[in-house]
Amino acid sequence: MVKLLAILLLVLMLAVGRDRGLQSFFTILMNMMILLGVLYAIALGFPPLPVGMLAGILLTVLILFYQNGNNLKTQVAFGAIAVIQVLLFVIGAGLCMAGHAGGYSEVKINLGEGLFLEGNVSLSMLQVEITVILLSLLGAVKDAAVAVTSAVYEVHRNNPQLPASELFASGIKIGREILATTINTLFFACVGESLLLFHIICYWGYSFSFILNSKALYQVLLYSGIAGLGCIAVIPLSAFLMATVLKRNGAQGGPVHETDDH
Amino acid sequence: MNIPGYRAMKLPLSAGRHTKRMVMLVLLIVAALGYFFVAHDAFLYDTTIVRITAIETRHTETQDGIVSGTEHYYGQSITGQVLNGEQKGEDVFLYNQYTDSNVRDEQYRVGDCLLVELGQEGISGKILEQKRDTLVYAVSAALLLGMIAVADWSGLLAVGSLVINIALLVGALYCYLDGWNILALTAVMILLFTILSLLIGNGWNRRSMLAIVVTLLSLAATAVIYLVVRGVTPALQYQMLEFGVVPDDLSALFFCEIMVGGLGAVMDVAISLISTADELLERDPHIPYPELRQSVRAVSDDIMGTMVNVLFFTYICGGLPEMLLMMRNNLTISFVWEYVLSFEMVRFLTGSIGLVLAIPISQLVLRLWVRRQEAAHG
Repeated sequence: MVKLLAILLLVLMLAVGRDRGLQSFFTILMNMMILLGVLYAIALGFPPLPVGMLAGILLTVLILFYQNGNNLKTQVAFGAIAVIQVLLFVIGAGLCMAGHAGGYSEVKINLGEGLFLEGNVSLSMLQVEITVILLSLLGAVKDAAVAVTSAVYEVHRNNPQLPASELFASGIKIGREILATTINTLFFACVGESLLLFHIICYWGYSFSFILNSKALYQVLLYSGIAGLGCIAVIPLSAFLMATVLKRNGAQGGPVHETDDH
Repeated sequence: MNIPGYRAMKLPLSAGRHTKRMVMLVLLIVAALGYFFVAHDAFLYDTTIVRITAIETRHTETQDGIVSGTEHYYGQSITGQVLNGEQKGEDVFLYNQYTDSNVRDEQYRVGDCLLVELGQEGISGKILEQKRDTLVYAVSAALLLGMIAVADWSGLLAVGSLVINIALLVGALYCYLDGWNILALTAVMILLFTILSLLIGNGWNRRSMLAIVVTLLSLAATAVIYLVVRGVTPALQYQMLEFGVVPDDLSALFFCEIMVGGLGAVMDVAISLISTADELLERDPHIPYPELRQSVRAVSDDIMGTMVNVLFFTYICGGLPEMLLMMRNNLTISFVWEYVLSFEMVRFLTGSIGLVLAIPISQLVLRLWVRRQEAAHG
C-alpha cells in the first residue's frame, strides 16, 4: 500500500510540478534517510538530544538550501530558524520536564498498549520526546521563515528606498496570511492523528478533569502547540533580520541584487 | 459571515502602535491573572489534589537493559499536602516507583501537584496522574497571545475558527458514540470544517466559495484514490494502530483519520492558489486564462514542496518514540515498518496526494469560472 501510494505521489508531483516536483520528491527521500539515521543512531545507544540537534541542523540545511537555493533570503531564513530552534528547545525541554511528557501516557497504559515491549530500554524517553517535538516543527517553521524573507526581499527590490520599518511591516503582513493557514494545517494534522485517542476517551467515558490533566492530551498539545509557537515567533524575527540585513547592505553599496535560483 | 470593515480593522503598525501595545498589555495581565487562577483551582476538583512537599528517593534494584546498558529502579516516598476537599491542609504519604527510562512511569519532583485517589484511612493513596492543567493553560494562552500579537484580527479569527472546530469535533464524537455511521459522520464533519474555516478566515466572497469547491473536490478525489489503493493491496495490521483497541471497524476509522488529517493542508493549498488568482481577477477581470494559469503555477511550484515537507515532519516524527522503543526491544526494522511506520507513511502519502491534487483541481475550477464569467458578459 505504501509503495503504491508513493508511486502515485511521485507521478502526480512530476505531472504537476515537473522538475520542482522531482526535486520535492528527492527532498522527502533524503529527509527519510536522515530520520532513519536518527532512528538507528539512538537505537544503537547514542544520546537522543545531540543526535536530534545534529539531525535538525542537517535537515534544515537540506530543506532550505536544496529546495529554495542558496541566496541571501535562505541565509537569513536559516539564521532565524536557528535562533527559533534554540529558543524552542529551551521552552520545549522546560515544558516536557515540568509536565513529565515522556514515555507512554496513562491512556495507553490503561489500554494495555505495547505490553509486549519491555521498559528496560536504558533510553531516556523524556529526551526522545524533546527531540521529536523539535524535529516535527521543522517543516512548518521553515515554511513561515522563507515566505517572510522572500516577501521582504521582493518589496525591497521593488522599492529600494523604503526604510527598514516599512520592510518589517510588509514582512509581518505576509506572515499573517501564512500563519492563519499554517495553524490550520497543523491543527487538522494533529486532530487527524488523534482521532482514535479522542474516540477512546469518549468511549471509556474519562472525566473532563482526567483528560485535561492527562499526559495523552499534553503530548498532543505539545506536538502541535510548540510548532505553532515556532511559526508565530519566526515571523517577526525573520522579517526583522531580513530588513536589517538589506538596509545594512544597502547603505554600503546600493540595493542588493541577488539572482533567484528558481 | 462577512466581517464589516475587516481590512480596516487590521491595525496598521505605525498608526495603531500605541493602541496595540495597550491592548497587548491588558491581554498579558489578563493571561497572567488566568494563570494564577488555574494554578489555584484545586477547589474546583472532585478528585483529591496533593502538592508534593518532600520526596525521599531510594535506589531499589538494577536490571540489565534489553539491548545494552542497565536500568536503575527507584522508589519515591512522597509526602504531600492535600489542597482541597475535607482533608485540606493535611499531610498524606504516597509511594511512586520509577526507572531511568520513564517508559511507563514518572520521576516526580517537589512542587509537582498530583491527582490522587485517597485510601480509606486517608493518609495514603494511589497516584492517578500529574495535575497538568496549568501547563495546558500556559501553552494555549501563549499561542493565543502570540497569534494576536503577530496577526492582529486575522490571528483572532484563526483562533476563533479553531475553537469552533474543536466544538464541532466534540459534538461529532458524541454523535458517533450515539451510533451514527462513522463514514457519513466524517463526510458531514469535513464539509462543516471546510466551509466554516474558510468562511471565517476569508469572509463571504468569491474567494471562499472557490476555495471550498476546490478543497471538497480534492478531498473526494483523494478518498477515491485511497480506497482504490486500499482495495488492491494487502490490508495493514490495523490492530496495531495507535489507540486502536476498540471493537469497531479500524480500517474505517483510519480512513477518517487520514481524511481529516489531510484537510488542513488541502485547504491551505486551495486558498493560497485561489487568492492569487482572485487578486489578479480583481485587478483585471478580463485577464486571459493562460496568464492566470502562469501566475498560479508560480505559486503552486513553491507551495507544493513546502507543504509536503510540513506534512512529512508532522506525521513521521510522531511515530519516533514508539519506533525507538521497538528498536531498543530488539525488534527488527521490518517489524517497526509493518506495525508503526507504514501507518505514518500512509497518512503522509495520502495527505500529500491530496494537496498535490488540489493544484490541478484549482486550475480546473478557475478555468470553468473564467469561462462562465465570459459567457455571462457575452
